[in-house]
Amino acid sequence: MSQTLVDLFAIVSLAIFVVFLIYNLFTLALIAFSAHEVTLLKEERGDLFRPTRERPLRPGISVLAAAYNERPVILSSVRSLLASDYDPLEVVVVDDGSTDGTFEALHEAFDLVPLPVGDRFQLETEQIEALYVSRTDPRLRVARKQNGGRSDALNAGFNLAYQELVATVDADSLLDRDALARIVEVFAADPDRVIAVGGTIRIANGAVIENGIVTLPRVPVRGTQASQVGEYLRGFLGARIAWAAMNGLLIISGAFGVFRRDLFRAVGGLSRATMGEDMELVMRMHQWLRPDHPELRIAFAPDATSWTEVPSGLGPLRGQRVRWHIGLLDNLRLHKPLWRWRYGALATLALPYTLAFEVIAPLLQVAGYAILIVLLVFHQVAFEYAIAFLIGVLLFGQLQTAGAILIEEIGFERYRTRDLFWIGGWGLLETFWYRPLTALWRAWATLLWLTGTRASWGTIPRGEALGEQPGEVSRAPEPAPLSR
Amino acid sequence: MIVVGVLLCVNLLLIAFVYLRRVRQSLRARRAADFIARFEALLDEVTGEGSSPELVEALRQFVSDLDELSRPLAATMLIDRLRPAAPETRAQVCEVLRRTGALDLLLRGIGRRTPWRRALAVRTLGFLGEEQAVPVVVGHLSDRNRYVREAAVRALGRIGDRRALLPLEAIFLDSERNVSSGFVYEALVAFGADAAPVFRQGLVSHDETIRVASCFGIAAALAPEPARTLLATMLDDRAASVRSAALAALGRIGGMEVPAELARLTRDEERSVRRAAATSLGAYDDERALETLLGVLRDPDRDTVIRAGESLLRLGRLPDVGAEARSAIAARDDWPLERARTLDSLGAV
Repeated sequence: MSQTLVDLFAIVSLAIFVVFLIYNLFTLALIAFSAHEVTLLKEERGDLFRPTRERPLRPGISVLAAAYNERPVILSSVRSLLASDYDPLEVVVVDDGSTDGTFEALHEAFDLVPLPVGDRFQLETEQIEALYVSRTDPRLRVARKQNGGRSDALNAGFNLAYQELVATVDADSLLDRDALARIVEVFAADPDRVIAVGGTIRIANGAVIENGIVTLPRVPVRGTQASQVGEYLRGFLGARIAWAAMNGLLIISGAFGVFRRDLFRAVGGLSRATMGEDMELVMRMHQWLRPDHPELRIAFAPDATSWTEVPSGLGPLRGQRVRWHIGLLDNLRLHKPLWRWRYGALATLALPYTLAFEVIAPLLQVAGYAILIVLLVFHQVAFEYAIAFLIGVLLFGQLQTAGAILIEEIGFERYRTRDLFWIGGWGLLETFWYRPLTALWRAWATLLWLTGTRASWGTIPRGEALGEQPGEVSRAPEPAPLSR
Repeated sequence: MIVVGVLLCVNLLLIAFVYLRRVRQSLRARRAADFIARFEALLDEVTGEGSSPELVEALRQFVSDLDELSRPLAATMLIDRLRPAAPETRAQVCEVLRRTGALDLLLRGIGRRTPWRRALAVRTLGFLGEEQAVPVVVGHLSDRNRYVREAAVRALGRIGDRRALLPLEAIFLDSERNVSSGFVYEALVAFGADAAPVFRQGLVSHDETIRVASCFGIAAALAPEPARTLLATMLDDRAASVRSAALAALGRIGGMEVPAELARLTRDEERSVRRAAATSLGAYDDERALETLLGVLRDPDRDTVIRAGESLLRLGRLPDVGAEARSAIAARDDWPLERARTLDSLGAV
């Protein structure tokens, strides 16, 4: 191997090492900030805090759920939404042209009767063919429309919604009974400035679910799912709490977010132009609303929880991650004007962090693995150095997971002790397989994005985690597209 | 190697911390379960048969044994019992607690350093309706923590002592207040007609939020006729939110004759105002309400026409205009009316 090549590799390796070090220090700082925020929140509210049910002049919420071929999970999900202790509540399920009997299952379970669709809609969508209301629980409305994708379905749901706030959820999500009340607490704390609030997404795989409510969260034994539990904890508790405190939140997960209805409409609803429509909406809100109203805030409610089913196999997981990453790249391109001082921490911290560590770092990471293999093959790496570096990587990664577990422990205590050890254990092993794999998928997604290739949607077997109750669905569930 | 060593130590420390905390929590959970069972039994007696000397003595012993873990549990359980209880039961419980020294403990709790403990003590005193606590609770209207301030406002509303009226008035009318106006409004409404002057002042505040809350306050605190007159003056307010609030408040009062300004606002440029007007008209047993609402069915805003449909259905139940409204509804096939009829048949309007 030529000396020039070795020198070049050494320079690239050094650059990767510096990026790695900055990434870890920055991420640990975010986790520390989040832990501080959660500690303050706990001091304010205590262990026995319950959101007040007697709030005067309480805003109503319309929960919008888009469903496309969600038959195996739709009943659990709708029951979970209707089990919410929030009032006034309206649940609007939009069947986006399902072909698997999603609507028929809803019709049978909730005794639907026709309601006029009407006109004078505020957002343009594919045609809404029919609207129904449940005879057993009139808070539930079900709309049928031609297939137009998730954004289109949620926009259609928005057109039919009636309350002051709109919540978007996935049709495979289960809300905690008090999730909506907890999220409204954040609006109530700062009613003039908060325009949208995101909730925490946790993983339902492995959990005990009764009547659409997660009664006993558990961490799945399988590595693919357990690693995602740790990843979600790091993402939601370790990072979003801190970003929200700085008003630098770039995304409210589509699986659970609440928006002021007037502003959702004012910015034009969800976009169909990107695969990351949830992130796009939040970035658009920042871009359109904050120049004239810098005081507006997009907040986060860490104690408002929605449970979702995550892919249990590597194939569907890869599809999901590739799609997410393409969505991220689309949104960074679409919202270049956000790189201005006037957007505060969003422009100075959140966007640079996202670009450096979520877009560029995976490419460097993949390059690093390739260089390491080449150098090892040609015996150009000091064995002690490689081992020390590996242990460093492992411990930095584990420190992030441990930090997220600490936040979970201080603020929420949702998991059993043994589950925390599962999360920690799989977190330790992640370094060897999960993180390299996700980096590889992100690099692949970047390549697809650069060449203009759109990823296929992939499929995921539904209903494994959300525990469809026996007798509720007569036909066997079929694999269905993940989402659109 | 130093970096690796430091990282390893920090990791181990975090793991040890979480594990030890879990062990502590598990021990506390066991003690809490035992405590809850014992206190439930005592609460049954206190809210049931009353205050025998034996019960008071048992409670006194119980209160003196309370510690950091059990005090908040006891307070929360007490609130859960008192929330649905009749005023006589509250007074009875308050009397028993006074004799056992628990009220002194709660008053001391208000001075705690931890915000949630202060808030809990204030809340408990509010549910007990303890008038002795009013001066101390008033002091916490300016607490540095939001939850304590909110708890203090609500507690004063629950206690209903006139000494609290002035401080609550000051907060309500202060544009820089640090408690949600909704909570102060609610506390003031509990004082009934005594709070009406505060809401009158609020109507002319330069702060939009205060004017909005005052509209609802006027509807709650004044008799229908003077309230209607005052609210009608707010229908020309420059802020759409105030016009909407005045309309909603007029809808809460209802009446036999639609105020002319109310009908006019069904053509307001702001859709939120037109929506409020459409809802409000459903509370007026007046032919003009019917005519106006039939016209509102042509409004370009979906929410407004939905509300008009629901209001027309409500008119159909009123004594004077009811028959005419029912026949007008039957003669039309507008979708908002059909929607309202369907929802009404399910009990959802």
